[in-house]
Amino acid sequence: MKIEYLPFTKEMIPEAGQLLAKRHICNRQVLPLLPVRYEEAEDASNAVENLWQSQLRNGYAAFRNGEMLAYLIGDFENQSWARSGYVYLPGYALAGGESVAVLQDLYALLGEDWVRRGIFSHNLYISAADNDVIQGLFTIGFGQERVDALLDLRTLEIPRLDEPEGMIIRRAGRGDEDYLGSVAYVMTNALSSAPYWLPLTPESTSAWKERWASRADDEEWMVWMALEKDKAVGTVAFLFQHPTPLEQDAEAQMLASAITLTLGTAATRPEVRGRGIANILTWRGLEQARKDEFDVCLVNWIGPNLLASRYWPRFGFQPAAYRLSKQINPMIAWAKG
Amino acid sequence: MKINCLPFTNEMVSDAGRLLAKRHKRNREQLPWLPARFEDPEVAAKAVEVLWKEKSKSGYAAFRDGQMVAYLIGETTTDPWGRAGYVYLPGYAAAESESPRMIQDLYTLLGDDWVKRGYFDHYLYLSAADADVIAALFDLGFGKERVDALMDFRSLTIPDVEEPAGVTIRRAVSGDNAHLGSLSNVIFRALGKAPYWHPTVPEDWDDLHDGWSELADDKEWTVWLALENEEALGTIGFRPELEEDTQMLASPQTIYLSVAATKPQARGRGINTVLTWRGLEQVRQEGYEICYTNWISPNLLASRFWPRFGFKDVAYRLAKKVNPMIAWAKDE
Repeated sequence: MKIEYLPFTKEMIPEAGQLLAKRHICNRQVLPLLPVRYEEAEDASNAVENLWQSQLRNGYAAFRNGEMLAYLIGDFENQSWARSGYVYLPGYALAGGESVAVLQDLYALLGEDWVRRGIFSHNLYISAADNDVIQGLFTIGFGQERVDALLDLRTLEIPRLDEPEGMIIRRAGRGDEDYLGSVAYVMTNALSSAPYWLPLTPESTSAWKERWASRADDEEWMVWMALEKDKAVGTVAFLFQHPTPLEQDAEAQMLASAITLTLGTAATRPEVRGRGIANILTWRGLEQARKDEFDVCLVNWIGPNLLASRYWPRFGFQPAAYRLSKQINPMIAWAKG
Repeated sequence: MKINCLPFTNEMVSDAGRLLAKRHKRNREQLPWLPARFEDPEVAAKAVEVLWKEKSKSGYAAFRDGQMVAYLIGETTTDPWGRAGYVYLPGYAAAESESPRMIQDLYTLLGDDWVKRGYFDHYLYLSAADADVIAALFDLGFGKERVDALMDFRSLTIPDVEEPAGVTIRRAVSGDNAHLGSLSNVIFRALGKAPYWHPTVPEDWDDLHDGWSELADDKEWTVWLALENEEALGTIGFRPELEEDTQMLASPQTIYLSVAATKPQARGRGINTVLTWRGLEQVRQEGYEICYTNWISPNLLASRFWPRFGFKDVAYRLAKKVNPMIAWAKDE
């Protein structure tokens, strides 16, 4: 029977929610640390509805015999590096037994809308459990850009580590703003270096520094730092609460629950790497998080940031989702025959 | 033991050839249709040498205890759609015991050279047998763009297929230039559509038209046409694929299948299926043993069509597009 592709409408939300709940049940069989609540069709529908309320959303759904087989909902944002389209984790589902070709077809429609509006950077968040979908998107040109990973703090064995010689390891607090701001450049340098080459405009790097500094006196953050000769040489920052209600956090909402804290940022100055500084900062933070009764830690890193992607899995973080990306040549706006 | 990554030099060609020969031997265990000759370190070294003679080449090699354990050689070109760096099939190898991270590290160096020189489109051809290298590059942001595939005629069953009603299937001859030229826009228009969106600049359209028209007179090509009411609806073409120094997919008696196109209004009638089977039958009768083709994987029509005939993936072109803003927007 022929598959029919239709623009997504508000009336399709309950059916999409049912598909999403089924997807999440399958995802949780592979990734049991995922929050359970999206197995309920109502919660899943709410997540789809939240996406659909965005002013800049668009989407399509596939039907056979009047029954929804799959849907894909996107959103877009003007980033400082490109007009970017996003599909967040609640933004897709495919019925069990259906070919990933259906999602490729939906992306062809959604992506075409984006391209016509000058949105040439396409980014899709996909559950790490959906191997077929990941493969289907790789086949049409998507590469991995970001890894979101989870760590079970309840079963974690935290080693006893001594502070590196001459180093002070402590929690940051009011008055440590300059220390924290002084290491923000480490992250921006890493992201703009090979083999990621993320462009960061001068104004955005200043904002980055201010953001890191402000965490010193922010109750939502637990920041650890390493000091040597009164100079900050490394930091690891954990976010206790999400900046918006979790239900509105499109990136994290299907990965985190109330018992999840987020390892937000980590950086060690290049000249002191190899001395175990980030290691001790991370373990101290994880230990404190467990004492504070968090069960799960969420982190994300950029796959092409090799320092990060070879570092975080050592702690036992398991990939739970990926951001896949595809960049379109803007020349297509005029050179298409 | 620490790994030392060095710029590639002439003196490294032999070692690289040995690594490439070993890689090819492993690749052939999974893909026996690949030509045997590159298992010979001298033949493999010749392929590396040819790459290294290119004016715009650059490369790096990784050493452990003074022994080469991996290398990556690329070359740059200015395509109509962008300045691009390419690593071709003989342009990489890693020792069997080494992690694919080695290729990631070498690409970091090679890619950074490219980026510093304004080459922002990065393309790497990889053997389909090197799944761990493919996965390692996917982790760096590479997506699949092209599939290279082979078909072994010796085990192929060619079905009897009828010509679609009202359609004439025949070999193209001198004088069919206009028919073939009329089909020249089918492929580049397909490539310009979702989800590939590949630009073809207007000044190339006439060249493409001329090139397709000339196939009618080209003795090297065997071209088939589907005609209805004197209008060309579809075509497919074949030419011998030569065993060149760097062509790691061509065995003796390999034929290349290309210029396969059906006008959009004629699709769904089985026209290209008949053209393909007729063409394959003919070249098999002429003594060819292997058919080579390639398609763009985000060209969904193509990537869902060719595997049906029994083509097996043997290599991929992976692509990563770097944002040119990086030339000025970095925190230094």
